[in-house]
Amino acid sequence: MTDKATPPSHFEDPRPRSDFDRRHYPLLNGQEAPSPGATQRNDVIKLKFLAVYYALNCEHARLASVCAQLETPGRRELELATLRAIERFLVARDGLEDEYAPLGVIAEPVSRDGFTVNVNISFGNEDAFGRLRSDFYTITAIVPVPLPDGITFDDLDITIDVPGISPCIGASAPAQSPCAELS
Amino acid sequence: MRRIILTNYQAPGDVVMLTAALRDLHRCHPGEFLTDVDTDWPELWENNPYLTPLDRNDPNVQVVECRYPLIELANQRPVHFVHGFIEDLNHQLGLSIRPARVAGDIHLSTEEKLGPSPVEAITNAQLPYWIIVAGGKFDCTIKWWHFRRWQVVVDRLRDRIQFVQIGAPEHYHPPLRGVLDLRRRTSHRHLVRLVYHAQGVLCPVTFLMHLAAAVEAKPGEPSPRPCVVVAGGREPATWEAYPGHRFLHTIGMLPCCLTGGCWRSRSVPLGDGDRKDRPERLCLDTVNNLPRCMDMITPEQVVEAIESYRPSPETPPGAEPAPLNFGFGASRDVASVDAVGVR
Repeated sequence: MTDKATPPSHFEDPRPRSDFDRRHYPLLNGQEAPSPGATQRNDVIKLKFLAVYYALNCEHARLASVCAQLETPGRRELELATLRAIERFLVARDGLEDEYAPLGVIAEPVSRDGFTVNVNISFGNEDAFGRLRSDFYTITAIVPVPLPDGITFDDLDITIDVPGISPCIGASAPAQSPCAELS
Repeated sequence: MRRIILTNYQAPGDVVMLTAALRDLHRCHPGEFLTDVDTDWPELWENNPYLTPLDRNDPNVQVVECRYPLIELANQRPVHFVHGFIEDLNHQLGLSIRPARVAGDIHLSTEEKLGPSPVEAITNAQLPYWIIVAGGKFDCTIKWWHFRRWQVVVDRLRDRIQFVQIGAPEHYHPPLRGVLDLRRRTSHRHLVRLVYHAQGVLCPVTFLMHLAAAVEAKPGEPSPRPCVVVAGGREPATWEAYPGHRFLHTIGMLPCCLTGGCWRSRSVPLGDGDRKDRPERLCLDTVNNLPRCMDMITPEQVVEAIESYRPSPETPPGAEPAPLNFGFGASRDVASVDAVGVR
């Protein structure tokens, strides 16, 4: 920011500040940002990117305001100061990108009318659903198994005790069909 | 006639190398085998003339799990990846296959060759292009070059080469400016066609590098296809580099890759719980979290390597060499350089 309330860091979460302007705070992957003070590594990275894009939005708004002013002796200086501030924040944004690139972090801004309205961030250690990439996936499938004539499911005595496979009789499962959970 | 099904469930680049083994099996033992394959990447086998549908439940069919343990000796013996599956098949089946080419064996249909390139299908223009991969898989981040360096290369060649960026959605592929962005939009078959129509390829050691060698060159285009590989010191050039490729490596230049590739996995821990975060899998020498071997390769060297695909050496002595004009289909041959060390 170019005013006296310059934050101590380019990446400080602006939301607790008294001059916070919610209109300029982008969405994160189309959703609200993590809570202020989040400590989980990926959340901290998200907040840093949002902070810098928020700052850029604020400066962009300021620049638009300055450019809309009539030509005055002070306007040119104000315009230059705002452009310098934008450059500083762009450098800071690039620094963030550089710092986290080796971790597989990609932060792609989505802009509208010159303002960043959303930042799509992905991480090297998480998939698109926020799960660690090394986590195993459990895929559940309903597998109908025809029973012999005259036999109902209630007639069967089924005990399966193997990791990843379990019989179930759920509301969604056909009464005559055991279902296997496949991992 | 022996009936065998070759199986392998590794990455697509590995399966490209298996196509070479299948080709050479039939070339060295013609008429002796009926063969089929079972891999995770069926698109790489489309139009392959060596396939016959076989039933793995048929008692006359032998299922052969294909591996390449030869890789364990890649730092000691002068062998290429193309030898990997071949030596394993020789061992398992008692054969004497020899590689016929240092390249995989991907086949296109006539329709695929004559049809528009995937780029033309999008742009409605016959646009000459190079393909660029600016990232890679998360299990091997040590292969990544910094995305700003890829960007510098694209910027430096902006007026001469149209780059088409590709990459799978589940991998790391940061967006580049000034490219045609086909990230997340290419199936493996699209990619085969994209490579066929491409003038060149720029990438790290990856699936695309193998495809660049395995997909035949379009008539009138240089063969082998120009390909610049930003390789660093993870893998020995003898194992990975293809004839005609510019393989930018640092083997012998750093203590950690003095006599061979380090074969490590990651530059820094990703924190995803993968065993490749363990210290023994991490790069020993990083500069700003980039492996030093990759840091040593500069955008200027990569640009120079691309530009080294000069016009025809048949240019009469003393004649002014034709200006580089990759963007508009300039005819040129390829200097035969197997591996270029970074100096």
